[in-house]
This record gives sequence, structure tokens and C-alpha cells, in this order.
Amino acid sequence: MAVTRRQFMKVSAASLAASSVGALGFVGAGDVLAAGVRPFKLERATETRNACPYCAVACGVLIYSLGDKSKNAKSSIIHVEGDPDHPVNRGTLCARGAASLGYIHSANRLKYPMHRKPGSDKFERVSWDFALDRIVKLMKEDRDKNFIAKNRDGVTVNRWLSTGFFGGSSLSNEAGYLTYKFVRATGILGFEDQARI
Amino acid sequence: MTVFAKRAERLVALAPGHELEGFLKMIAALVAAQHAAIAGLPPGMLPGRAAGAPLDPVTLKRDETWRVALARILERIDVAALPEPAQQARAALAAMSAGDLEVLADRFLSGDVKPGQAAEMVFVAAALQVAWTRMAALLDAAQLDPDDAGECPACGSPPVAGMIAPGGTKFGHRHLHCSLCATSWRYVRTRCVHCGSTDKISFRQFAGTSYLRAECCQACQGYSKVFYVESARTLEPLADDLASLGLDVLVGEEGFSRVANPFVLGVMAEPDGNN
Ligand code: SF4
Ligand SMILES: [Zn+2]
Ligand SMILES: [Zn+2]
Repeated sequence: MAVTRRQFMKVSAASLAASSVGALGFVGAGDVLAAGVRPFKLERATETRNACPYCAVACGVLIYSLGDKSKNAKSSIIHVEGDPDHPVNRGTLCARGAASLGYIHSANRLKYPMHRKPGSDKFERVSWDFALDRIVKLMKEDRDKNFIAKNRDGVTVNRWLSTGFFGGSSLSNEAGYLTYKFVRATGILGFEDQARI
Repeated sequence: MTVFAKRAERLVALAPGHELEGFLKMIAALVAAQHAAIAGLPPGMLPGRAAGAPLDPVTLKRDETWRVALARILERIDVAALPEPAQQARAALAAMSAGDLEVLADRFLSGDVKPGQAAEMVFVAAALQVAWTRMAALLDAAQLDPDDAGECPACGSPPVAGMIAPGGTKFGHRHLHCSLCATSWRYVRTRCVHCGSTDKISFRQFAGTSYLRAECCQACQGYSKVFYVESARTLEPLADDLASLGLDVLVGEEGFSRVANPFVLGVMAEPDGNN
């Protein structure tokens, strides 16, 4: 549209008085209105789009959070529902997805890598660096020990059957492609990418 | 029942005890006159199939239908609901030449209302709404292309407010409502109706309430209202927009601007832009 027909207005007691409201004869109405809303507090809320992480359907969800109006205040998630604009689920969620609010606030929710040392009976929080280094080391050890380059008949197979891999249901096509490339290159056959859709 | 009859009924219900009681009652009288004016109004110039919005006032050559509607509104409005300045505006319009009226219509339709004309312009806006609503009612909805735009697919005007539908197959969808021709169209939620951004959207609501939110966009500093019909079934977008101007006062204090309601005119502000 070449011509913009949006007449913007910042509403206030003064602008209402100067507008048609005042011009039609309701001069003090803006002041009365502004005084009337003064006791009310404004609440800041957000609706954030995301995908349900529970299965490969990857339903769209809207995550509602509520916080006060200051930009840095931490807001809390109060509600999760199906995204009506999402082409996959059109606002619906199955029982698992509909229960995600409980999962988000669960005391048992895993929020960072945890490690149980050999011989220990409890998990302890560790850094991502530690966790990734440890995973890499264990994968390498396991692969070196169990990798099958050729089968009984001497045919090259390059299999690694003693380790499996899970992808994420809400990965994009591109991330799914890269995951597949990486996992197959190592020889892993036990691979679930949750990416059938 | 016309959209105007429903709107007038809602305004009458909202007015008692409201801070803007007198104003809401006057607009109720105006909208009731719109309802009376639209009965038997000639359909006006209907374009053939056009690309884009077929009733865009920028490209559509308007005929005198809207002036017929204006004359009827001025004649039938309940004068008892009009304060002195409103009565003067009514008299001034009744005496105005067709040419001068067309100038006012151009001004309103291009979003260029001067403060000195604000009172007259409310009647002009009401008459143009009647003419455009009459034409829009004759369009084939299947021929309109909403194209996920923040402008009305029938006439290209900005929306007056959005409504989130309850129940049924359209559960949870947002529909925007045209400020000129009363057409409604679907628009993705949590997306700025002015600039299309989905990035920095947040909502403002009165603490503890959930039937109305201002959808604020940090990208363009604009906002628009979203009503949740689930919480208040009798909502009417234009009427409830006027009755909730109190929220606009608080949202305005945070620096956000909105598109003017067609009956709250004459004060222009540029949205603050990139910051
Ligand atoms: S809501 Fe249910 S079906 Fe949809 S992604 Fe989540 S678990 Fe899968
Ligand atoms: Zn329209
Ligand atoms: Zn915006």
C-alpha cells in the first residue's frame, strides 16, 4: 500500500481533551478517565511461540508468562496452550503436551548437566564443558573397543552398535540433517532423530 | 441486526457510571443513527474484481452515497445526546457544500485530521463507515485476500481492534476488525499489526484481568488491543475500544502509540520509531 492511512495517537488526558472527545464538548472527560485508572496497576505479559519437546509431532505451543512491567524483572510462566496459528496442531495438544506447565515447574526438572561419579550414590551439578568432554571421551573409548569395520565374510560394514543417539523432536530440518550426517559418519546405527514429520 | 445496532446496544450497556459516560452515550446515539441510515441505502459504486483491496478509498472513486448517509445521520441522530459543541458541528455540516464535505472525507480517509475539524470529522467518519460497510457487505468474502496483512482485505484500512475467538473450529484465532468497513479477517497472534514484527512483542493488561490486552511492539513502538471473547461474550470491538480508553492512557505513559479510533480523532503522533 503506497499511502499509509494510519493516524497514530498517543493517548493521554491531554490528547483526549485536544481530540474529538474534547471538541465534541467532553473537555474534562480525559482528566476524569486518567484519574480513574490511576489506582490500577499495569501488568506485563508475554506469549512466546515454541514447539512441544515430547514427540516427533512437534506441536506448536504458546507459552504465557507474567511479570511486572520493568524490563529486567524475571517473569514466571503461568500457562501453556496449543498455538492456534500452528499448521500441525491448530491449537490442540495431547495430554502430554497439555501437561507441560507441570513439567516446566517440576522440582525434578533437569536444568543443567549432572554427573554421578563412579562409586558415588548421588548426582552433582557439572559444567557443560566437563559433561561434553566426558561424553566425547567415553564415546571414543567405546567406539575404539567395539567398532566393527568388516563382518565375518570380510565385507566392509563400519558399524558401531554399542552406542545409540537421540535427536530432538523440535530440531529444524537443517539441524536434523547435520545430526544425521554426524551420527551416521561415526557408524552408529541405533539412531532416533524424532524427525519423521 | 446490523453491526451498528449491535454496537449501539453495547455502548448503551457500557455507558452508565463510566468516566466517559457522556461521550459513550453520544457515540451510542451516533451509531444508532448509522443503523437508521444504512437501511435502504443504495449500494454505492461497487468495483469489479480488482487486485488488492477492492474498496480501497485511495483507488475507488467514491460517489455521493456517503453524503446521503451523512444527511440521514444528521437528521436522525438524537439531538438530546449532543452537547453544545457537537450540535454546532452538526449544524455546520448540514450547511456545508458537497465540495467542502468531499474535502473532509479525503482528509479522514488519508488519516490527516486537523484538530480544528475533529468534531465535524466524527460525523464524517460515521457516514463513511455506513457507506463502506454497505459496500463491503456485498463483496464475496472468498474473493478477498487477507494475505496475512495488518490492513483490511476489503478496503485497506487499519483495524480498530482484534478479537480472540472462543470455542468452535476457530478456537483461539485472532480476527482483526476494520475501522471503516467492519470486515474482519484472521491475523496471526502475537504479531504487530503495524509492522508485522513477531520479535519484541509484549502485552499490557490491568493487573488481575485477562479479557483485554494491549499488544505492544518494541520494534515500532506501536500497539493494538486484543480482546478475549471467552471472558466477555458481548464484546464489540469498536465500542469496547472506546470504553477501555483508560488502558490506553497507561500504555501511552509507557511510550506506545496506537491507530486512532475513528471517533477519537485530531491528535496525531508519530510512533517513536527505532530505539
Ligand atoms: S503435544 Fe503431544 S502430540 Fe504434540 S508434540 Fe507434544 S507430545 Fe507430541
Ligand atoms: Zn475495511
Ligand atoms: Zn510493530
